[in-house]
Amino acid sequence: MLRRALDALYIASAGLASLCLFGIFAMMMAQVGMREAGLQLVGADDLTTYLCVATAFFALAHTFRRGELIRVNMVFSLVGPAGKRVLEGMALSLAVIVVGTIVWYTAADVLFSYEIEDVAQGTIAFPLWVPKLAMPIGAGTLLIAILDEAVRVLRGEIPNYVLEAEARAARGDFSAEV
Amino acid sequence: MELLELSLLLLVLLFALLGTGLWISMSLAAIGWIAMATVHPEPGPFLASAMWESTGSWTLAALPMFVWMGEILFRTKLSEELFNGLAPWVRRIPGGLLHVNILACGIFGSVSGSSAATSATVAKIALPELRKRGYDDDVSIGSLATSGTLGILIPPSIIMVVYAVAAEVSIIRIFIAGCLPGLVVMALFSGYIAVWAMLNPHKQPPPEPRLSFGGKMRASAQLIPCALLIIATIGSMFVGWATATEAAAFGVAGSLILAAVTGMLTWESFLDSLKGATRLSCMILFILAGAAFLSKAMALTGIPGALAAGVAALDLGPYGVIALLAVVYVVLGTALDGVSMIVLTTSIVIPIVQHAGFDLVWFGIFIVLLVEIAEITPPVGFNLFVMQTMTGKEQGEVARASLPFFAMLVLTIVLITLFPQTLVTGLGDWLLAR
Amino acid sequence: ATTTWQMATAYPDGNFHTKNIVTFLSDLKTATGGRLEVQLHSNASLLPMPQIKRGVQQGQVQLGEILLSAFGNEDPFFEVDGIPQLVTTFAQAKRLADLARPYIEARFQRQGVSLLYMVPWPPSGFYTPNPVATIENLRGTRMRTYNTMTNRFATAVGAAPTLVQSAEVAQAFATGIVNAMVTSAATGVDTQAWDYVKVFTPIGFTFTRNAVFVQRRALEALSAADQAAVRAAAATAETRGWAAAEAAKSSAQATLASHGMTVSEPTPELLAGMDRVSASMVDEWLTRTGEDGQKLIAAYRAGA
Ligand code: NA
Ligand code: NA
Repeated sequence: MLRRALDALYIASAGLASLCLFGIFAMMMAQVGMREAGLQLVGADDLTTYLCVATAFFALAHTFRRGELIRVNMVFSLVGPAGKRVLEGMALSLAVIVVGTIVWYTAADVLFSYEIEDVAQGTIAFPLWVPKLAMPIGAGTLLIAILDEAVRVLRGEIPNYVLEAEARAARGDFSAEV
Repeated sequence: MELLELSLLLLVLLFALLGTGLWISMSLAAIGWIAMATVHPEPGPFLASAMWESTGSWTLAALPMFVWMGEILFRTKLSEELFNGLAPWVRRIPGGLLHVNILACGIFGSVSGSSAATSATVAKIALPELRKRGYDDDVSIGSLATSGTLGILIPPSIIMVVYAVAAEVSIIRIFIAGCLPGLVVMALFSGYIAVWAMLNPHKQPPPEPRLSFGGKMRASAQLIPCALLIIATIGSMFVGWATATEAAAFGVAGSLILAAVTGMLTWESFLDSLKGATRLSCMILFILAGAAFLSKAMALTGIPGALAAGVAALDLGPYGVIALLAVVYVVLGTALDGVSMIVLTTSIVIPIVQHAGFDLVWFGIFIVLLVEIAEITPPVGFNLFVMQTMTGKEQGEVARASLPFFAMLVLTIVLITLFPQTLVTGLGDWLLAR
Repeated sequence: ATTTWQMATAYPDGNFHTKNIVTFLSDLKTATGGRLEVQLHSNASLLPMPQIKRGVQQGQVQLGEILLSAFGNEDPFFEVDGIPQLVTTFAQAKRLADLARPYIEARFQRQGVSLLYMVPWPPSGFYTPNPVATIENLRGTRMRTYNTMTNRFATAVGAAPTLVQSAEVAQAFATGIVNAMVTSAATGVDTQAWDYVKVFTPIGFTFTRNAVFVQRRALEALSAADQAAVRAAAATAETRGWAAAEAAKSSAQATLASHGMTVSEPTPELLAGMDRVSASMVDEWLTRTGEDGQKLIAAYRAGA
C-alpha cells in the first residue's frame, strides 16, 4: 500500500516535470507565433524560467530512483557487498542531511517571499512565492525517495537506483536512458 | 596563506565526499556550505537563492529544448541516415566514421549553445552506431565527450553570452570570433584521429563496402532531412522569427515534424523522448544549482580572487601571464562549472589581461577554450557526466579517453595566442567594417 | 573591533556607478578609522539584481545597490524616475530625486533597510535604424521592452512592445526581431550598439537612478559616530556620482559618434509628441499611487 503510494508520488511528480518541460516549448513557440502576429505574450520570459525551475525540481525523485543523478562510483567498484552497504549507508545519510537542508531553506525562502510580497520585475508582477514552491516540494519528494532507499539499505537490500542502473547496463542500452 | 590552506582543505573534502558516492550536486552544495560557514553566519539563504537563480533563467531554457531535440532525433531514423550519408565520404580517411563525431558536433554546435547538450545529442546518435560497427570505444568516447564542447565555441553559446556581459564586450563580435577557432579545433581533432588510426591499424573496424559516385550521392541524399532541420533552426534566427534561445524550440518543432513525416512519431515515442529529456535536464540543472551555491561561497571567501591576484603580483611578460592564467583556469575548472569560472574571476582577471596588452574579445575565446577543457576534467565536468550516463563507464575512464583531445584544445590555445588577429579578432573586424 | 560588511551590486567594475561605490567604500574605511570594512561583490557575482534588495532585507549582505525603477512592480514610488520625459535635465532629475527621497526612504524603512544615496544613469534616447523626426515615426516599430513602464510606453506610441532579454538585443536587432529601443548612451556603449543600429536620438526620456542602501539592523549596530560617518560618506558619494553621470553622458555620446553612429538631436515636434505621451503616463502612474503620488507630482510641478 505504502509502496504503491510512494511509487505513484514519484511518477506523478516526474509527470508534472515533463509537463513543465513541454510548457517551455509551448511557451516559446507561442511567443514566436504571437510576435509574428503583432501580439505579445505578456510575461512569457518569466513564466518560461519558472517552468525551467519546476522541470528541474519535480523530476528529482524519479531521476534519483532511476540512478540517473550522477555520482562517482570509483570506490564502490573496489569494495565487496558489505563495504558497498556501508558506503551506500554513508552516502544516503549525507544525502539526507544535504537535501534536508535544501528543503528547509527553500521552504524558508518561499515563506520570506510570501511575507515581503516579493514580485517579479517583468511585465507581470507574478507573486514569486508561487513558482518558488516547486523547490521545497520537489526537493521534499527527493528527500522522501532518499529515505525510501535508506530503508532498503537498512533491510540489507540493494538500492533501487543501483538495480535500475545495473538493469540498463545488462540490457546494453545505456543511451536510451539518458 | 590562510586562503591557500582553506582552498586545499576544501579540495580534499570535495574528493572525500565524492569518494563516498554522495551525488555530485549534493557534494558541491555540501562543500559550498562548509566554505561559506567559514566567512558567513548564515549560508542557508544563499543556498535557496542559488537553487532559484541557477535553475531558472531565460537563456538556460534552451538547454532542455536541445536535450529534448536530441531525444526525439534518437527515436527517429535520423541517426542512421546521418551515418549512412556521411559514411561513404569519410570511409577512406584513416579513422573513418570517427570523423563524423567531430563533424556532427560542429554542426550541432552551430544550433546549440551548450556543451553538454551537444555532447548528449550527438553521442546519443553516434555512440550506438560506432559500437555496432566495431570502432574503438576509447577514441569514440573521448572524441564525443570533447567535440561536444564545440557547442560553446561555435556560436550561439551560453558561455560567450555570460562572458560578454561580464567583460562588457560585444556579443556579436565574440560570437563571430568563435567561428575560426571552432574550425581549428575540428581540424585538430580530425587530424589526431587520422594519425591515431594510421598508428593503430589493428584497432580499426573492417572498411565499409566501396560505393560508386552515384551510390555515394544516393547515400548522401539521406543527409537532406538533417540539413533541412539545421537550416530551419538557424534559419528561424536569420529571418527574424526567433531569438537564439527560441531557436532551440524551433529545433524541437523541426525534429517532431521530421519524426512525423518519416512515420517514426508515435504517442509512445513522443512520451519517451519527453520523459528522457526531463531526466537529463533535471540532472544537469541540479548540478548547476549545486555549483551555483559553491560559486557564491567562493565569492564570499575570496579564493578565486586571491588566485588571480597572485598572478598579477608575479610580474611576468604577456605570454607568461597567459600561460599562468591557463594553468589557474585549468585548476579552477577541475571543480567549477564554466559560468562560475567566468563570473568569479573576470573582475580580477580583466585588468591583468588588458594590462598585458590582450584584446578582450580574444580573451573571451581563450576563456571559452579553457571552459571546454573544464568540461572534460574530473571531478566536475559536464561532458564527462553526460558520457558517464551514456556509456555506464567510470568518470576516470571517460576522462582518460578524452586526454588526447584535451591536448588538442591546449594546442588550439597556443595557436590563438600566437595568431590572435588571424584566428580570432580579424574575422569580426572584417565582417563588421563592411 | 573591525566590522566587516558584504555589499552586492549587479553592475560590472568598469561602470561609473561601481567605480563610485569603490571610492565610497574606501571613504567609509578611512572615516571610521578602519573600524568598518566592506567587501564588494560586483557584477552579480554574489547576488543578481532581483535578489539584492531582499538579500539586504534578510541580512545576506549588509549593503546593496539596485536600479530602483526595476522594483516598480513592488511599489510605484520606486519607478517615478521611470516615467518618460517627466524630467529632461540633470537639474530637474535632481529636484525630482530630492522630492521623492522621503517617500522612498519611508518605504525602505518599513522593509528594514535604509537609503544611503541615489545616483542617476545618464539620460536615454532612441536607438533606431533611421532618424526619428516625430513620434509618429515610432508607430509600427517593434520596440524592445523589458518591464511594465517600457511596455506601456511602446503601446502609447503605437509600437509593438517586444520582449527581448538584454543578452539577446544585438541578435534581435541584426535579424529584425526588434528595430527600436530606448536606453541610455552609456548602455549603448556597454553593448557596442554601433554593431547593430545606426541612429541615436538623445531625448532625455528617463534619468533612472541606482539606489545604495543598508540593512537598518546592521547600521544601528554601529556606534553613533560611525553611523554619522557612513551618512557623511554617502552624501559625498551622491555628489560625486551625479557629477560622474553628467561626465558619462557627454563621453558616452561622443563614443557612439566616434564609432560611426549618427547622434541626432531631437526635433521640437518629437519633443512635443513625447510631452503628450508623458502627460498621459504621469496620469496613469497617479492612478496607482493615490494621495502621496499627487503630492509628489504637485510639489515637483510647483518648482518648475
Ligand atoms: Na554553439
Ligand atoms: Na572540470
